Amino acid sequence: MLLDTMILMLQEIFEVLLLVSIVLVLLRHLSFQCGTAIIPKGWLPASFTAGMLGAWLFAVYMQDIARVFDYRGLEFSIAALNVYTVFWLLTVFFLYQPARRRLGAGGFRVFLFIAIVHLIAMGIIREGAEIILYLQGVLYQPDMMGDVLKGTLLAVVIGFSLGLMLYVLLINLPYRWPLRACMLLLVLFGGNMASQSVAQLTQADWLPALPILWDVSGLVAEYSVTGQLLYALTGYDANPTLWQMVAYGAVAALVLISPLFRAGWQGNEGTLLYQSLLGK
Amino acid sequence: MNIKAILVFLMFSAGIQAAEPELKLEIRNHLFYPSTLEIPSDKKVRILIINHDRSAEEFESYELNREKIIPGNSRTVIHVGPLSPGKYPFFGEFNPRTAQGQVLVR
Repeated sequence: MLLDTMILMLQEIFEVLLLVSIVLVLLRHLSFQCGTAIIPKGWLPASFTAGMLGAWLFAVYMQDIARVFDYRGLEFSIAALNVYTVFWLLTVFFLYQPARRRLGAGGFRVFLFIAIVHLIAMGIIREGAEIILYLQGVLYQPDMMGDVLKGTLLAVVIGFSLGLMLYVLLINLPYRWPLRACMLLLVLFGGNMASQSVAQLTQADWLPALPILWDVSGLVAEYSVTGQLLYALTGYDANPTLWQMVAYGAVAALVLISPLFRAGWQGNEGTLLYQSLLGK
Repeated sequence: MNIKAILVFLMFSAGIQAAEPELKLEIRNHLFYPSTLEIPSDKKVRILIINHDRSAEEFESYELNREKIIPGNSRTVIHVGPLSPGKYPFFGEFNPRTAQGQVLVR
């Protein structure tokens, strides 16, 4: 039970910790480029508070949500959470420069705060509700409580360590590579959210079940350690459908072309992220 | 296009899909009953999962690409297929050592 709990908890929390690491690296980069005036304060406790509150509500009402639309309510809810996450990701990428120029330091700080809190809180709601329901179930098995608590603690320690390792690895990359690496990870993150939304809607039979494009589970099984790590970093799916890959590619492409949009706002300050990406 | 039209469409889409065959899968004491579900190949199937336990379970299958939480003392539906012949294992993520089963497609 200890090992099962540790694995389950690690799977749930790693995605959020990964996102937090990326945000920390990006804010660090921003503070070097533009000073600390535009760096939002208190985003981390705000994200976790909002996320945990949302997760608790989602867990409490999950039974009712799941029943609507002929038992499709849960899939629609999770897909909506993922789409909302993608919306905020694209909002930051596309509106970064206009917001920077038009809102001033204070307004831009609020813009970043809202976007970051939404991004992280949505992840906590999705994963946190599952954790709450799992731990609730353990209350009915008091003899398992010890192993579950130890497993949870181990998962938190390991998860934080991995997140810290990633942060240290990213900030020690040379030149513009911390920013480029974060951008790449966010491209993959956005694609993953879109792909998962499609998977949920296919599960609800709201999107057609198109044939599987490929099955590489023989090379890297999803349940393996490598598979789970790849899933957290890239949204790895050993047997995706066409719709999943279309959604993944569409969101990834939107994120990748966003620098061109930001370049249109180039002014005296320039397009910070675009120029940074190109190393100018 | 307004919200009411979208909701009507979603409700009707649920009704249309209700014609597909339905199988029942029950969870009792962290075990799946039956542990093997047989379904025809190349057909869509509804699986009604009834969780009789007080604790939640998460139905998960990498091969089927399905993952869904079923709160305690509740039921839900998962749609699978059309599938090629073969075995598609599934498990309960909250109790992976006991809650195991497979979908057998002929």
